[in-house]
Amino acid sequence: MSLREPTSLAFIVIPSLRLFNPLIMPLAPTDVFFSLRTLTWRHLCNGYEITAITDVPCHLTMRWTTVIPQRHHVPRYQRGIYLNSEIYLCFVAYHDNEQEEAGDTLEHTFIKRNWPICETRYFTFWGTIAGIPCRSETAYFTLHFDIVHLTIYAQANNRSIRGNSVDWATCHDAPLGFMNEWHEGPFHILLTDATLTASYWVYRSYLTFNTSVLPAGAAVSDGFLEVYLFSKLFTSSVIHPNITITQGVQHNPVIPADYGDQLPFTEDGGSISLGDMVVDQYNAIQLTAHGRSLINPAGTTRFCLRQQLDIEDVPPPLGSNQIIYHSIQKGGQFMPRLTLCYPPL
Amino acid sequence: MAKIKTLPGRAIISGFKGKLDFYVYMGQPCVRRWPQSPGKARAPAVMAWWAPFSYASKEWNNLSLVVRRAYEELATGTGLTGRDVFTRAYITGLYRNPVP
Repeated sequence: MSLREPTSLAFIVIPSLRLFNPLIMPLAPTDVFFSLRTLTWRHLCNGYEITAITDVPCHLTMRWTTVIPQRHHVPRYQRGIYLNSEIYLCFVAYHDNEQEEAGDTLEHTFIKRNWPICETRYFTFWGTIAGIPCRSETAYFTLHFDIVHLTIYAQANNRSIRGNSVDWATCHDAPLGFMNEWHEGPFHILLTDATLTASYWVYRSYLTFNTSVLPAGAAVSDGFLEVYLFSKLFTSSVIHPNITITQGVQHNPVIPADYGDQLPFTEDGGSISLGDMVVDQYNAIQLTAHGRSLINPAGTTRFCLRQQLDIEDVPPPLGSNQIIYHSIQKGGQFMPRLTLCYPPL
Repeated sequence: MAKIKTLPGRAIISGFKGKLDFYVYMGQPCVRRWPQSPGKARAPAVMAWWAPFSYASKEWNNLSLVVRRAYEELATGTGLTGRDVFTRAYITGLYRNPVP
């Protein structure tokens, strides 16, 4: 088309499209939004615990895939030239997992276990507010899973100490206990117990691990204690079902005074319900943050397994809440063991 | 906006700079008043979107580095910044597959 001096201009006026722009949809009450502000993650022994924080309370779902999302550019013709500024993303072959917390929250936790070693996953988040889907979505993030497992067996000084009396306070608060010498074959059997029969019985079992084998700089992010159950009884109190790891204060070797010294140490280092424990196999007790804080990378780590009635100082109803598990002396695939997980150095 | 038969000469087009804008749209020479301030009036639908857009612009400053880097990575190779991508994600979403 050539440019030349016009002799006349013929105009056809077209009304401005601004007033009738169909692309500007009215903002509806159901248009709700959220913004993902922070994202952190912690290595687990077999996956990640991912924590997201948003600007408004909402219920998030994590959408993840092992297929890298493709980014496509859409050229946009604007005033005579093509601009390569439009993008859209494709998220395919995905799985949706809701947050752990119920309802709308500011903090959102996703626990992803059974994540294969060396698998990379891409994930994004979408949400609802009061059940209404949000218009907002987030960028996608990438995590590659790699972890080191270190298994440590208990030391030979593993023991149980018992208290016994017809009076609960005397049994529970005694400064000295009785070293349990009940053997299974030639091996020590370890008990954790709170029982009422003709009298009250409390057993506290003590395990010590040489955790100085942890390499320097290893940041333990997850771990679990496993005991191989010989037998269990769960007949006393179903509302106090837990076997709990507490900080141990035992000497080496364990002495009767360790029974009374253990009394004030009740913080939960990891618990498992008696109802979930299975005889004739290993039972894993996941360490809590407190449990992980008890790990001593410079020396030994001491644990004491106590029953919930013992920890809460509640006299057991008639019956037993008890586990009996194998000691290190049993050998083979029966020994109490501690597995610690940390990201590769 | 008006349709014209042919575009005028360069000198005339330059002379109208700041008042009239000549261009070709799909092969049709056109002219319009430009720049043209709409004044303070905006359509209600336009004004309704000011609040979320303004919020998204400010919200960028509240994002952690990890989150910001994710948006900046998405913006690479486009004419957009990470902030632009975040604003778009906040208001309209980013992905082709719709959420339930």
